[in-house]
Amino acid sequence: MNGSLKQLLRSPLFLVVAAVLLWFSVTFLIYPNLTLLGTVFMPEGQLSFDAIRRLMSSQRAMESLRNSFLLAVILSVTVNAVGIFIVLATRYFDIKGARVLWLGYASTLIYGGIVLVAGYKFLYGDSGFITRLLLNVFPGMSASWFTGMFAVVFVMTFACTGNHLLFFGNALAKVDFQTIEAARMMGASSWKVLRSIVLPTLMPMVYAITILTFLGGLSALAAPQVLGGEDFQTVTPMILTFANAPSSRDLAATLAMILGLSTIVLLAVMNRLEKGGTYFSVSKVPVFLQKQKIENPVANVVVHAVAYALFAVYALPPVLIVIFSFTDAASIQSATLDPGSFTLNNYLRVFTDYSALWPFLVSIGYSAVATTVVVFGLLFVARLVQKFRNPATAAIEYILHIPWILPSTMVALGLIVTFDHSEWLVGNIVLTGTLAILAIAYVIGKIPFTLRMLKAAFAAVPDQLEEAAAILGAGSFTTFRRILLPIVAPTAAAVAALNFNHLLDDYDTAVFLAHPLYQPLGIVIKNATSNDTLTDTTALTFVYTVILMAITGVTMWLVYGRGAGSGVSRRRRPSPKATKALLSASPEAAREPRELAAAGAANTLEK
Amino acid sequence: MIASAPITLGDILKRRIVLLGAVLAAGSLLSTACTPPGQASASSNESLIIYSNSVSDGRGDWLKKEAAAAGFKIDFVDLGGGDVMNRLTAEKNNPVADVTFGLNNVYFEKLKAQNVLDPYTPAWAGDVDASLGDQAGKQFWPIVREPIMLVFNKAAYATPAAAPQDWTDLWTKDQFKGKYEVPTALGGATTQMVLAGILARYADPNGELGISAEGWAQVKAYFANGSRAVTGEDLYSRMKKSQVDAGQMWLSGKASREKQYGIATEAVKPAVGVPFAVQQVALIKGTKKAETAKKFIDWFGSADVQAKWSKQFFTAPANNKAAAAADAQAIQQTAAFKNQAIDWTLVGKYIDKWVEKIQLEYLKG
Amino acid sequence: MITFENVEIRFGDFVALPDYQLTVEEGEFFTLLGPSGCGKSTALRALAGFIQPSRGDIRIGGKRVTHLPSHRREIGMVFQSYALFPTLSVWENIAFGLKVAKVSKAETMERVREIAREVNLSDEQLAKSVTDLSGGQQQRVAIARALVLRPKILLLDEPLSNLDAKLRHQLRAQLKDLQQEFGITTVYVTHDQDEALTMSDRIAVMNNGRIEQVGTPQDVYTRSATEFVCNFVGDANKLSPATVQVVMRDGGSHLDPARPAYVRIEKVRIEAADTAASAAVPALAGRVSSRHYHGVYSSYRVETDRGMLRGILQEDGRGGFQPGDPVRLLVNPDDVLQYGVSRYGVAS
Ligand SMILES: Nc1ncnc2c1ncn2[C@@H]1O[C@H](COP(=O)(O)OP(=O)(O)O)[C@@H](O)[C@H]1O
Ligand SMILES: [Mg+2]
Repeated sequence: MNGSLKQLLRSPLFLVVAAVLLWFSVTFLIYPNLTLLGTVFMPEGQLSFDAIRRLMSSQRAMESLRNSFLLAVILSVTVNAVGIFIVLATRYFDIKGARVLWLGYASTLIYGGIVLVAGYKFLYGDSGFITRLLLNVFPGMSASWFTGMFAVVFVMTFACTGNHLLFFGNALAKVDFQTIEAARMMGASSWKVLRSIVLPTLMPMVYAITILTFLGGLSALAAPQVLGGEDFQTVTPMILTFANAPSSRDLAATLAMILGLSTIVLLAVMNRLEKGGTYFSVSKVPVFLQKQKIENPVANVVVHAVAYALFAVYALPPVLIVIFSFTDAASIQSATLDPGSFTLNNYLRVFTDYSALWPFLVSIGYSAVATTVVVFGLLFVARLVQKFRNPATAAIEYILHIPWILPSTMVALGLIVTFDHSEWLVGNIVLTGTLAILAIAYVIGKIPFTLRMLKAAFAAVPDQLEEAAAILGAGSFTTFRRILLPIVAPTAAAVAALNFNHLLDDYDTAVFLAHPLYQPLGIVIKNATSNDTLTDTTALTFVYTVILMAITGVTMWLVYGRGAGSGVSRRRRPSPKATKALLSASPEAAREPRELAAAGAANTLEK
Repeated sequence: MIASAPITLGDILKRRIVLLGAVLAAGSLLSTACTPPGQASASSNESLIIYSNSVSDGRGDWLKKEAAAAGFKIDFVDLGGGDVMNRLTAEKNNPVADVTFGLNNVYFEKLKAQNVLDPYTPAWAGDVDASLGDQAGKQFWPIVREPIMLVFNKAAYATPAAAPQDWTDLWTKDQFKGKYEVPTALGGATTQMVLAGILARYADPNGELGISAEGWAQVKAYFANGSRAVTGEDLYSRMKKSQVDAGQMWLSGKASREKQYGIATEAVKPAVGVPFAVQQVALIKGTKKAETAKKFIDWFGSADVQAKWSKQFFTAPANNKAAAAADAQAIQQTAAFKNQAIDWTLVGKYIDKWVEKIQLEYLKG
Repeated sequence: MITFENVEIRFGDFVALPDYQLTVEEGEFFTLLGPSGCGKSTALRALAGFIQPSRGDIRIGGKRVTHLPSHRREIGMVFQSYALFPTLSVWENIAFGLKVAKVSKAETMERVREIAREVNLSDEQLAKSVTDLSGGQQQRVAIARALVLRPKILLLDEPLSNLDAKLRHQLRAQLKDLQQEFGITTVYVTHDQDEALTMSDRIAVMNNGRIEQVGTPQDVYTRSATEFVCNFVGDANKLSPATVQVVMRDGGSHLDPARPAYVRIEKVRIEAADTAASAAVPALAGRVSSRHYHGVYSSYRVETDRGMLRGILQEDGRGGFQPGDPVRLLVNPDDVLQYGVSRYGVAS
């Protein structure tokens, strides 16, 4: 049922939603960003593109841009290679210990950003375990070998395979096993089957993830900042720096817009590619995947070896973080383990000292509030734009995607310059310095991802259900509440969990907007990992990281855990319903990649 | 009949969703049910909020205790120099802070220009050299004078004479090239003082941004021949590992780091002198606790407190009366540096542009 | 009584039903039959109120309902996919309409129980989640959900197409029984001619958004009004002009070899070549080219010098014919269906 504007006007619920939506869009998406662009590019009321000239004449800026794109291209290859391999190793090939391997590979799902980079540096840095090991073998080697493009690519390759685990793995599970059986019967080898039957059907998903990876590389922050050295700095740290200096914000805005435009172009390319070929399961009776044995003994050994080597790479940093979180600052500094230095004091301190625990409470509070608001609100909005397709809702939908084009730093600045004085749009309240402004920024940042996912979830609900409800006498609100909401609830929960996790360790937005007495975790961690501080916070950072991983792990488990169809557990009992809960909730394999790419763009841009 | 039904996948999912909902709800409640540390007591409206970049390394905790003894309840917001600036500016119409201290005069000039401060003449105004603070508007007042120094690892050089004698030696003499640390983030107060100290030597009204071409060449060489600071690693940690031998430091930072990293360092005493950062204190315009805030400023800048602070954290108080009871070493070491003649007006006018130019053109990586 | 009066339905520029006219009588089991995409569902959905006609009117019991919302048309509907609410239990699905209508708890209980009994759903099944039911059980839930509101009209959109063959056959009878028991006016959509012929009181055969013929199953089958109906319903041989000329020889003067002519395969008599010729019926000589065994009967392809014809023979245990056997084919001119010059341009 395709609703008309007239229908919309007849439904009081949607009228309210539309009104709130309109107000929110104008107040928090359009007005602040226009204000910001105005102050940046028209400082004296006159349009000035001096920023472009300054950037063009800066070799460093140009190199950073080049490095960002270079990183994006390289990662597109390396992340796909590793990502596809780990998914195949855990879910396609019959590899011993696949469950454990999967857990190791999945560690990047529960920690990321600066914490992850610090973890790798802890292992491969100047005084890291691996470095010391290597120095024993090659005494002439430089201790600071882990720097520059290689180090950044290495760390980011492993950090960015989460999408493969979630989305590629999910798509693989949906491949019709009968096609594999058929190919086998015709004498195809396992390699041939993989290359010409399995992978081609998954290409749309690979495209989608490639786009995500590309955007992730483009907007990389922590890894190049910490590991890039002088030869491999990228553009996002530069944006942050310039955004922090009021007189250089036009540079930040210009660079941000270059990234934003790239995102738009990529999404357009993605849509085009996707039109080229999508693959549906044509089978009426899809048979779920069975693990494939690798017949060639040499290949089998090699694949096992690579799988376990990768496992070590993935698992070591988080394991070491956990272990060292029980030691003191000195042990952490020197990366040495001494039985005498083990202590529970760090944890005791976090859980007994209110001021040490406080950042956690703040982060959890903000993440929960923002997640709840954005998911709950967008349930209505997604329904509205999905049901009533007309120019007005199309325009609103575009506006809701603005946070993709401007990175979170710019959104935060826009809010500051707009609401640092009283504005009638928000009831003449000065929002800066209040608790609300950070929550608003978090909500804004999460809109595109949430909207795309929920819209896809609603679109996947067969129209006939609504018709059935209508013919039984249910009004649009009853249908929404009693039929549609319960169906999209699993998707909403998954989206909520991802949002929640993502906001927990946010730094970029908080640094501008957090109330000084309510500083979230991201700021505390960042402060502790930056220079100029005494080391007594180092151990605390490790503890924070471990607790963060625990919280994130629990949320992930709640939506993806056993029985919810993720990982290796699906072998026993295929659960199409639960699979649907995995993010897209779309029955059409074709829709998933697009939503995913779009949604991921939002995520990576925020990183 | 229903009870005996097996638990279906749907049930599990439903429970998970309910659980997730509960977690989110609980999380949301947290934000309203809890109060930040130190804000719980009934007197919280009289609790002062202070923004500062000078409360790390245990300084904040110490001051909090002392202030409590004197009857003040205070909460610190510990931020970098640039962040304190940005925040105070952003919040100027709805200030959260009541008092700010620790930033140097260059930053305070900017705050003043942004209308963030309120004029107030503290009780100890007569005991300080007012020219170190806000000469014209009485909006900010000096508390600590601190030399911004070039320090080197003593172990790296056989004799003091073999060590660099001025900043310019670093990039003009081959033996130092690549062995000194240069900052990668230029937003910090210390870094900007260093840059001012180098660039102000080449002031030229006709030059780009008030600096001669020669001056820009020097700064370019400074960055080109330095070793980039490593994010997350202290200069002293790198000096200990002999990755670099020299870098920028402020006086009290030198003392605490020597102790922590167990290396001996020495500050270079250039003939032209070194830039002095004069930390200031000021009242925030629009504070709802102006009376308490003023009392705090009177107390904090007093000879007694400044002397204790000096003893504790190795600083040279601006308050002349504090000198006698202050850490003699700190005063003596501070006095040992010549105050470099710097046109602070020029610096205040151009520092942001300088930083931007350096970031765009000279910074490596 | 349901009437469609010159109804036009459009989807953008595409006209799905150009000028739909139809009358369904009270208590009738009425079937819309036609190939996929011909507009059956569209007509049904227009009747249900999911689609608005761009022209014309729909009446139920004389009352104009063209712009009435679905739930006020007193219609129950069973969807092709059943459209059961996946997050509700069987009980909740059936009780949904009652709950929305704020029917009391006690009465809801009563009515759900009653309808469940009618469609053979056990108490145990009522407590289950609909996703745990088999296809046949889901279909019964869908019917119960549609009937529990005691609608005047029941609409069924290919309700058996998702089931396996055996179940489909069983449920045909059950559906028909249920319809008769309730005496409810039923509009049934299917593309399966067998279903249409066995269940319906009357059938409308549709093609390309138009109705080709309305009539009883016998009418539609034996007196197919158009070439399309003849082809779509049942199985017919198209006769070549030469064959028609042979058939015309005895009592077939009303036939015209120039026009398309058909004969149903079961009307073609196959005899051994050596059987004494029946004088009344013109015969064609040919040879069996293939035989397909169906259990009760076998179907044959016979190559004659005037073209290929198909026929069937009851299996009587005497072995029938084998490929290569010479046979004689007999076609009664009265059994030949003839139409105007074919629109498909194959008329010779
Ligand atoms: N919502 C729609 N939008 C556009 N075209 C439609 C829509 N619904 C049906 N059609 C078209 O109308 C024609 C009839 O469809 P339908 O009534 O579903 O056929 P069927 O007889 O198989 O039930 C088909 O060509 C179909 O493509
Ligand atoms: Mg249909």
